[in-house]
Amino acid sequence: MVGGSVIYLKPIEILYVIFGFFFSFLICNFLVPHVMRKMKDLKITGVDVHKLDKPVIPEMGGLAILISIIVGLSLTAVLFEDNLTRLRLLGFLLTVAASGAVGIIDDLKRLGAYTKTILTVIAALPLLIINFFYPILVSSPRFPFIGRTRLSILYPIYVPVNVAVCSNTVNMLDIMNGVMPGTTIITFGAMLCCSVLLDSKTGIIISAVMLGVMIAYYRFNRYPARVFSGDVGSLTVGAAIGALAIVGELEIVTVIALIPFIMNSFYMLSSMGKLMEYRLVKSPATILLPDGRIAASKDPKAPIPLVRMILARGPLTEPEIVRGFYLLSFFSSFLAILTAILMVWW
Amino acid sequence: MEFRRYFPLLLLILFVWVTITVVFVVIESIIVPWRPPQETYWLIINYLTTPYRLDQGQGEFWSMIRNIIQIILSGLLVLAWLYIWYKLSKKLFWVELGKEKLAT
Repeated sequence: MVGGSVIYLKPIEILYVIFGFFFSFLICNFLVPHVMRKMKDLKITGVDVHKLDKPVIPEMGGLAILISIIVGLSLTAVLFEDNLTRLRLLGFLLTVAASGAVGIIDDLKRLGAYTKTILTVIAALPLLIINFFYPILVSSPRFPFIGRTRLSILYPIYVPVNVAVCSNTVNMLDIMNGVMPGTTIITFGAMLCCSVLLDSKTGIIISAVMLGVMIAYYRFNRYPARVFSGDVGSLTVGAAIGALAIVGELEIVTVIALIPFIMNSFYMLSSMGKLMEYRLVKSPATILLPDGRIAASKDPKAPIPLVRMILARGPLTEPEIVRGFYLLSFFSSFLAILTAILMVWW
Repeated sequence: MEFRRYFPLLLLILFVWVTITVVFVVIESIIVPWRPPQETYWLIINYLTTPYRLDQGQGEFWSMIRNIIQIILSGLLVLAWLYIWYKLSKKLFWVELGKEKLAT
C-alpha cells in the first residue's frame, strides 16, 4: 500500500532500526582491519593500478561487508515480532549470503563472465523458494501513475534476473577507490527515504543496516584505499540492492537510483558486444599519465564505460573522477526520491 | 567541479528517468488489453491445435492476432528505447568531443 508516513513502525521499532544501523556500523568497523590483516597474511592482494607507485592492497575486504550484513541484520530481525517482516529479511539474507559465496569463489578461483552471471541468478533462488511456500513474499511491482501492476505470474520469474543484474552492475562499477561504497551509500540513503515515503517497513530496516555497514566500510576503501572490496564485496552489495528492491517493494525507485550503474553496464556491453570480465579486456578504457592523472583511452577498441565518458573532456585525478560518480549517483537518487513522491501522490 | 563535463551525463540520466516512467506506463496500458482470462489462453491453444477452425468465432481469431501484435509492439518499444538511449549518448559525446576522442 502506498501511504506517506512511517505508520507501520511503532516507536520501539524505530529504536530497533537505529540499533540495527549502529550495530552493523560497529561490526563492520571492527571486522575490516581484521580481514585486511588476514588477507595480507594470506597474500590475497591486488595492485592499485591508478597510482604511480602501484601500491599492493589487501583484497576481499568485502568479506567484512558480508559478515556484517548477516550478523547485523539477523540480530535486528530477531527484535521484530511480525512474521512477514522476518520472512522477508530471511529471504533477503539468504540471497545476499549466496551472492557473497559466489563472490568468494570468484575472488579465489576467477570465474568466467557467463559462469558468474549464471551463479548470481542461482543465488536468488532462496527468494523464489520461500515465495513458493509463502506467496506473500514477492508482490507485483508498482509504478508511478499506474500503481500496482498485475504481473502475478511472470514477476517471480524475473526476481533472480533482477538480483543478478544488480549484483553484476555494481560489480562493474567497482573500479576506483571509494566508488562502490560511496555511490551505494547514496543509493541506500535514497532507498531509506523512499521506504519511508512508501511505507516499506522491510525497506527501512534493510536500508538502515546497509547504510551502517557501508559507511563503516567507506572509511577503509576511500581514496587512498587501504583495502579492496573484491567481488565478494561488490556482488554482495549489488545483490543486497536487488533483493531489497524485491522484498521492500521498491522496484522502480531502485531502477532509477541505479541509473549510473545501469548506464555503465549498458555502455560497457554495447561497446564490447558481449559479456566479458573487465580484467580480460586487452585495451583498457583509461590510461595513467606520468603526472598521476587518469585519461580516457583513445584506442577505438577500448570499451566505453562511464569513466571513459567522464574523462572524455580531459584527464582528471582519481578523487575528482570519484566525486563525479558521486554527483551522478546523487542526481539519480534525487530522481528516485522524486519518483517515490510521484507514487505517493498518484 | 566542472559542471560542463557532467552535463551530458546528467541529461542522459534525466532522459532515462523520463523514458523509464513513460515506457512502463505505455507497456502497462498495452499489457492490460492482452491479459485475457485463462479460458482465452485455452481457446487460443485449441485454435492452434484443432483443425475445426471454422467452428470458432471470428472474434477469437482476431483477438489472438491482436494479442500477438501487441506483444511484439511492446518488445519493439523497449528495443527502440534502448536504441534511442544508445544513439543519444553517442551523439551527445560525439558532438561534444569529436569522433577521434570517443570512437565506438
